Amino acid sequence: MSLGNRSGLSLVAFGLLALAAPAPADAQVIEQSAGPKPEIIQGTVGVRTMLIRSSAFDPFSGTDAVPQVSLSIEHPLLRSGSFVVAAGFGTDFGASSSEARGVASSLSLWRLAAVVEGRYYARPFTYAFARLSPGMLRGDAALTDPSSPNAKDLVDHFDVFSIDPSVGSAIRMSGDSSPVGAWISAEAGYSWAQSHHLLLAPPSSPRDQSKIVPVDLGTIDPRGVFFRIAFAITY
Amino acid sequence: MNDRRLLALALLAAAAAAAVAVAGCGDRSPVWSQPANIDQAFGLNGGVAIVDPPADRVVVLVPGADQSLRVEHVTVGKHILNVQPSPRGNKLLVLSAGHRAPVGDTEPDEKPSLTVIEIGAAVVAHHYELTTLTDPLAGMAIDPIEERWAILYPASGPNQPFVQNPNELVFLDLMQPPETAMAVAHTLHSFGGRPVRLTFTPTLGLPGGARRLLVVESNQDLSILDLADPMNEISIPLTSGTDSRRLTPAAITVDDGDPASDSDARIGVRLQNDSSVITLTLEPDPGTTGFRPTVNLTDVGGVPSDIAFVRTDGGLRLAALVPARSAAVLVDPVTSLTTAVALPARYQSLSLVTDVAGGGAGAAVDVALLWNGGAPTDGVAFWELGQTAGRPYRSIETVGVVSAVSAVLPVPQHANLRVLQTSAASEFYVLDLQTRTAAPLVTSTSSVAFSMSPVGDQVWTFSPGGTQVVATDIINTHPRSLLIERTVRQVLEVETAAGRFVVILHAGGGGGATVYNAATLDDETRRLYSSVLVGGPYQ
Repeated sequence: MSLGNRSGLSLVAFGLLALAAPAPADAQVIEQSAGPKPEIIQGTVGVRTMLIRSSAFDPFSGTDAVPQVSLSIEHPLLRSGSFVVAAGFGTDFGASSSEARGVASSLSLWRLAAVVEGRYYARPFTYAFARLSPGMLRGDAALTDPSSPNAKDLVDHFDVFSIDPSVGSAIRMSGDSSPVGAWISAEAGYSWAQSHHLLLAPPSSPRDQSKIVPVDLGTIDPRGVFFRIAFAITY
Repeated sequence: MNDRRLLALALLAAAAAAAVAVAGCGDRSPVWSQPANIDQAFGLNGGVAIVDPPADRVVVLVPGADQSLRVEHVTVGKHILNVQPSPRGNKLLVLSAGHRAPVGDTEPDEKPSLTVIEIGAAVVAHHYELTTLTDPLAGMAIDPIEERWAILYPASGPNQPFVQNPNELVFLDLMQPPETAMAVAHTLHSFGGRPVRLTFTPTLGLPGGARRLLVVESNQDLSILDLADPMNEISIPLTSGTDSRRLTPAAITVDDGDPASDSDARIGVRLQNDSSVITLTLEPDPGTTGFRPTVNLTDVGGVPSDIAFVRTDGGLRLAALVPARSAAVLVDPVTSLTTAVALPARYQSLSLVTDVAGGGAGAAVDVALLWNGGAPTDGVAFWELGQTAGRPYRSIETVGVVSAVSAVLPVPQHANLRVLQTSAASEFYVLDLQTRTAAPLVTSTSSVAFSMSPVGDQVWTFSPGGTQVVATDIINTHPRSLLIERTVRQVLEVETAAGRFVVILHAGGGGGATVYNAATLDDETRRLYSSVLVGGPYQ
């Protein structure tokens, strides 16, 4: 945990230093006068690693990390000088599988969220951002246990409220004159979600449900720090 | 552009480093990667205990109202060596080796220990730390009468100490609380043998006062210890110094003799490799023990398969079954004179059933049940010891059981009943000792296992690895099958404050359980559990 936090702080500090770095003198005037290029839309694809320290996550993973794929789309709503406010939607999907006492186990997490992002363009080719992303987190847990009463997997699904605050920075890789911008961003934040008591049971008819007792794996807190690297296209 | 690319690369490198650092964080307990199994499960008074060695714990299942199951985890010492239920089913004793941490080991040091688990309104564990031991003793014997003494002794097998003293016994008084209990070590005065069997006697009238003894059979001698003072020991070599043979004891039997006398308690010994039986009479002696065994060796004409002290109309005798002669031999412990009684079959086992099939407790003569014959039709027989004098051949009464009986199971709270397990295992019998009748029950498979209801109203029959479980009413011998979906490993009926329940354990995966109300056996109210061993937390 301490290592993860240190890395996150380093990342944020590095992003701020990158923004503060002086640009070449001849380009500085042109870029400052140009400001951020107006863009209509930004599409992002990235990978994210989330750290879940909850003990109820242990049956599903050998480590506390969940690798995820991230997609988002945003549209700038407000512009004022170097400041831009954008909004859009984003999704993260990740899964973890392992063995819990010889029983195959898996947990998938799918998050669908709104995104509100404030950007500060220190240069036309780089900006820092702060993002708030409230949404819903869907979790699917499963155990493939031969001792299941009806030979079906023991499963549990949950939908909980989630919100992710994060900060990061982005650098434009494409030329400034191109109407299509290619950006790389790095981001660190905390993904918070409501807890859920994991009770896994095989799907069964209503008549059998009173007979089949779910497996209690305790309360999972699907929240923790995360890091994301993303590639974005703006137009 | 070059600066921009450098910045981008640095940004990516920092983010990747952070992601990799996070991905390597927070390993779970290694126990999660160890498979679970329910091979060691015990039915105790109040619940079922499943030993989970990879997790150094015992998982206790406590059935409750509506066939609910409360799951409790009891942490025991690391590296479990031996687990035994107490003879009355009140406790589970778990002996652990502990852990000796070398330099650099993050796992803390832990002494060998004995954890005693009791299930009541709550599950209670008493942890006795065996501080005087460095290397563990894996053998364990539990006092079956008072459940007071746990005696540890060296055992063979893997993971034993580099050097061990095979004659060292460690006595632990379980009546003492763990804070004050001291493990007392004692080395037997060996004549070269090593202990193989420990027997706790009931209270015997002995010179110097009534007390209980521990009889230790080694592979060539016998030791008698006073349980009140284990240092008070007498060791007896069974082999004469002039004899090159090594006589090995096979079993012992004990008799207190006349309750009014303190000088006639006896120990009978049969041998594995000799046709003799040995009678030790514990007579007064001025030494520290207060008694001295007088040894009598009597040849019974063949290697005996079972022995017991019996009361005949001619007085106390040591009865020895000699299958090679199809006979029983009665040995007078005073004169060593023998009387052979021909038997209708080569019975190998006997047990006294005087209480219900004879004149009751305190009767002048005994009745013995003979079983475990060699032929399929040998069944069981009642042997009236009162008629041995003069009419020995008419003293045997066979019962029409047409299978060789391999085990006789007592029925709790029904002293007059026994369940006869047959060698063929495709049938079993409910024997009524009073009416001397045997009701047969036929099974569809020969792979059958049994367990008994603690209140004695039904016997559970099941096929390990199959899905057949049947409860047979012990009084009217009416069988009722249960509806079982998964393969069965064990069937354990337990009684709790909420009622009587039968817990059927299923192997595979994280271990499953089906819980029935043992009184109603209603399929509709049964409850099915999965992965009972999967839940943590783990250390």
